[in-house]
Amino acid sequence: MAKRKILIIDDEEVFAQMVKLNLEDTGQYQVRVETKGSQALATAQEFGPDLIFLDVIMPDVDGGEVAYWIERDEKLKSVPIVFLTAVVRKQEETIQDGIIAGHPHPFIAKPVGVKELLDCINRCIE
Amino acid sequence: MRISLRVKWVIYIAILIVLSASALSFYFIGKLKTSEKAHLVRQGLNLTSNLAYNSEYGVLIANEEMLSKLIQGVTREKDVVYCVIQDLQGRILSSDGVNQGHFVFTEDFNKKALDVKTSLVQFYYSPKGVGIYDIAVPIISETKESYADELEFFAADQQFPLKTESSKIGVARVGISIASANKRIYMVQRTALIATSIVIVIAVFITYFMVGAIVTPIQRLVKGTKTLAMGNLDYRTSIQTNDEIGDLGKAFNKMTKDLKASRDELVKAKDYANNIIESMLDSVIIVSPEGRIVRVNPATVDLLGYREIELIGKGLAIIFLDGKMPFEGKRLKALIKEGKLGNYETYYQAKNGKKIPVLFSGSVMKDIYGSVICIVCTARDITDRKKTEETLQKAYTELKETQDQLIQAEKMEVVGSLASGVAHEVKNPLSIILQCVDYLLEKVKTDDKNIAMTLGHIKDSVKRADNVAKGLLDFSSLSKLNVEEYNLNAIAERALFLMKHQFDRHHIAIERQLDNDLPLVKVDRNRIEQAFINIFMNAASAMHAGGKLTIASYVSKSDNEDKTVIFHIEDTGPGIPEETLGKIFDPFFTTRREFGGTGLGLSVVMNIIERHNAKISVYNRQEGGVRVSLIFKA
Ligand SMILES: Nc1ncnc2c1ncn2[C@@H]1O[C@H](COP(=O)(O)OP(=O)(O)OP(=O)(O)O)[C@@H](O)[C@H]1O
Ligand SMILES: [Mg+2]
Repeated sequence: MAKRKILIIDDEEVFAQMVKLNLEDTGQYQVRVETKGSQALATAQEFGPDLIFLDVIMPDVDGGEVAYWIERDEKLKSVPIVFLTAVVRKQEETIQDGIIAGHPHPFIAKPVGVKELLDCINRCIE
Repeated sequence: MRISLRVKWVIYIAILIVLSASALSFYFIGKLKTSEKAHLVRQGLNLTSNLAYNSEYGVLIANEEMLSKLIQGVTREKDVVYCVIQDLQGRILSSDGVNQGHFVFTEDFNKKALDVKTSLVQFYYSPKGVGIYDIAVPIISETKESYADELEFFAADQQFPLKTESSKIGVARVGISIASANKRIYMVQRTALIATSIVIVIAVFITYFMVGAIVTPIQRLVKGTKTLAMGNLDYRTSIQTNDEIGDLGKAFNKMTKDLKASRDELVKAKDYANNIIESMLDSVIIVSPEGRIVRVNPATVDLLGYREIELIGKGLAIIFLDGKMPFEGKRLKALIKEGKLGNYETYYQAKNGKKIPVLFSGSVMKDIYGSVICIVCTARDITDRKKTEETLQKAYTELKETQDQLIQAEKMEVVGSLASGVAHEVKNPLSIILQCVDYLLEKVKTDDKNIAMTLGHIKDSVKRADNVAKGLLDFSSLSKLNVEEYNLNAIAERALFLMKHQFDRHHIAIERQLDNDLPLVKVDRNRIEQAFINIFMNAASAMHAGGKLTIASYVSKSDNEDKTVIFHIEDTGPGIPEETLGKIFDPFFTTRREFGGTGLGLSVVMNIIERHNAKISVYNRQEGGVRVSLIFKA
């Protein structure tokens, strides 16, 4: 069985690399890291991920815009996106599994543990 | 009966004249009578003496013819009525005029005449009513010298002894009538009477006019005074004589003029004062020292709706709200002592019961001796001012609130941007730490339990720091309110929906007692939802082993028109210990730090509630558990 491809778009490179390390350690995922919002679409088109973790706040192009372009890409529009964000309020966290009614994409609040990430991946790709 | 001065004087003068004239007449006529009588008697004696003397011879020779001649000569004399010559026995030797009815004597009378020594005068009234002197003289046969001629006539009826030897041979008697004398006296009397009458008439006239000269000006003065008394001060007397009365007239005119001037002044002053009171826009009420209303001006009538007569004589309390006067007890004393009570805000009550706010002033009017004449109460209707004041006050409060909110919002914005920046910057390192810890937990397989424990501590600390950052973000999100009208029930329902997962996990039952007719309330939907969620989360935390959450809403109508919407959120948890009840709204106060509590939940709720001008209160229920009440102004 081929490894699932996971793309992490986050300007915080150390975090992204640690996530990559932890996920690849499971042996089930092929992970790629992109730290520049402006490069995100191109990388995704080239990499062809099964799931994208997308940071919301990035210095050049923010996550929302990246998601907008990915949603409109022929090849990528069916790829699930999970937002990763540090700016999450307590109220939003209580919301079941990070899904806000009416929001197109679920999100995960940073800081996040490996187990939560894996749960999320399983739910989104199954 | 009233007799005028003039008549009185006329009567006095007339009486005076009559009295003096009578006295004078009485005296002079008396005198006249006496002298007339004397004259008659003297004349009679002369005649009779002559007759007696001349008839001596005739008697002696008893020559009747001779005697008759003598007698006729005598009777021709004036006033002589009769003439008789008698002998000593009383026989009439000769007579004349006796038949005329005058000569009727009594015996005694005759005897006296026959007994005459020198002369005798007797008076009687003849049957015809004529007064007559009967004069008797003896006829002496003279042998010796007679002294009869030299006797005093006035003592005629006295008997003088004859000094010579002579013999009486008869008596000559002559009757003298006083009729003509009387007639003369009568004439004099009449003249006197006429003269007196004329004098009286003249005197009356003179008096009348003289008194008139005094009385007429007095009458004019009297008339003037009467006219004056009737109020006509324009009257002037026309007395212009140059004497004391003239002075009086001038004084009167001057007095009248001065009186008119001062009265005009007074009337003017009174009119002026009256006009002021009548035209004042403020209510003026004059009160007697006993507290009765004596006078009110039109403004009072307009203000209170009473008619004037309904107020006059009434106690002043009638016009005050519930009869409460502003000057009672202490204030009354102060009023009397200081004489005034200035600009005191109180309420009048109109006839229809309407409450009228007024600015009341009272002042006491005293006379020069210091006793109270009246109390003057003025009042200004300040309904409009009150309204304006209230509006202003309201506007001010609103402004203040808005300002407070703005300041709060500004503060929150600063805190917010700071907090979100901090949160973001803190969370990223925390994320890295968490990933690293997870990596190590996976890789470091060791029997040393302390390593696993240490890594566990790191992980917990990360969660705690993260929670604080999240709380700060909550706080920061309050910066701007986005208010619209909402039904609070709907917002509560949505919060319940979002919390469903939590409640289910803790086996918490939900009971709803929501009023379906809630008025709409202006709120920021997201913030109120956040407040509900924080409260629900606290309840859920308190009931981690299960329980019941009751949420109730209702409308309360308070005495004024403002409606309020009230929410009660009750749990069946352990409640809050009394000693910590005062601290639960403090930021970072928590009893659940080890379970990830930050102590920011209720501070955020408080913030949201305050910024909506609502109220929150948290207390322990008697049955156990906590009740949170939210009160919103509709
Ligand atoms: N329904 C409740 N029952 C019992 N105690 C309560 C209840 N609500 C609040 N408290 C007490 O009030 C404290 C402060 O509450 P608050 O919501 O501010 O903070 P927290 O709940 O402790 O932390 P956080 O809200 O950040 O999770 C709580 O720690 C708790 O002790
Ligand atoms: Mg709480």
